[in-house]
Amino acid sequence: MASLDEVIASIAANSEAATEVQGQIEGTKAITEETLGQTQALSIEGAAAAVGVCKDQLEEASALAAALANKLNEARASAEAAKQG
Amino acid sequence: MANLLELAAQIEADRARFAALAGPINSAKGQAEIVAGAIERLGLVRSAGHARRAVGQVEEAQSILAALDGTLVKAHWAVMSAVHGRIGPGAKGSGAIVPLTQFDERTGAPKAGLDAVPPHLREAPKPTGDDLLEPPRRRKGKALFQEAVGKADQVEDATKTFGQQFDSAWEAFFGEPSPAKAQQNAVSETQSSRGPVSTEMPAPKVSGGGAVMATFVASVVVAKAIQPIVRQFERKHLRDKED
Repeated sequence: MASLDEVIASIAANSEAATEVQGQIEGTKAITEETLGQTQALSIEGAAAAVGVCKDQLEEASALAAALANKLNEARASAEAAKQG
Repeated sequence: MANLLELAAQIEADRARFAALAGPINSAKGQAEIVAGAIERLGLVRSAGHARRAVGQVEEAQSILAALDGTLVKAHWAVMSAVHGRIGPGAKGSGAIVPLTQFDERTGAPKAGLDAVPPHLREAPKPTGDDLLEPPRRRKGKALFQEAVGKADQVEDATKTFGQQFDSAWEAFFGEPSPAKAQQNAVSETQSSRGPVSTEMPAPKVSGGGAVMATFVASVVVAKAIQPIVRQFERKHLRDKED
């Protein structure tokens, strides 16, 4: 049977992974901003609008990733509280 | 364009990384549930409460993960629409966009009541009455003709199937192509050769066993074909006898 320590370790690992992937989303967002600048400079309005939508979605994704990591940290804190009684 | 495709690939990779988190998070939730149940059975109410809260928080994390996946899918679609033009459910002609609100052409205001329903939803198909005006005799003749054409096609198909099955049965039995197939091969070989044909056309080799087999198959086919005629004759003969 799984122990509380195992639960804490598992949740912590997931939280770290979520933070890591959030960093990657930030990197993708930076590429998107660069591409948006290029499309705007070339006056490709349709593509620029679509890339702008993509940037907004990535910002939302980044915020959600941060929320995911926070929620997992809260879960880990609750598990640690359960261990302490 | 290359940048946009790389960006799309990058977004898809991010989505895959998050999707890979779904399994471990679900596993952590399962472990937390088991531990919370065990703590409850031990009667440690306060600890059990904390453990249950941890389970709930992991469930919330799962919901956030699902929303995150959807957001990244939308971002991917947006980039792909920048590459290919407007694609996806929002594209024109995709069938997803149906104008559910009708606008008045003169005033530009949205219509109300029955006028608000698009014509293709409002109007049921109206019967023209052409089928009722058509003379029944002519229609019957037409239907009979169509039926006969359909049956002719069926007979042709059945003949072809029988021929193919006969050829394969012959090959399986005697290890050589059937006479009809051998003749076909000979003819096609002669037609495909470009130079003047100086040799004789090879005659299909039919062994004694093959002839017996062919006779047997032919007799079965003939027996099947004349069976209804014989039955009809018997019925008529019996009727005459009774009279």
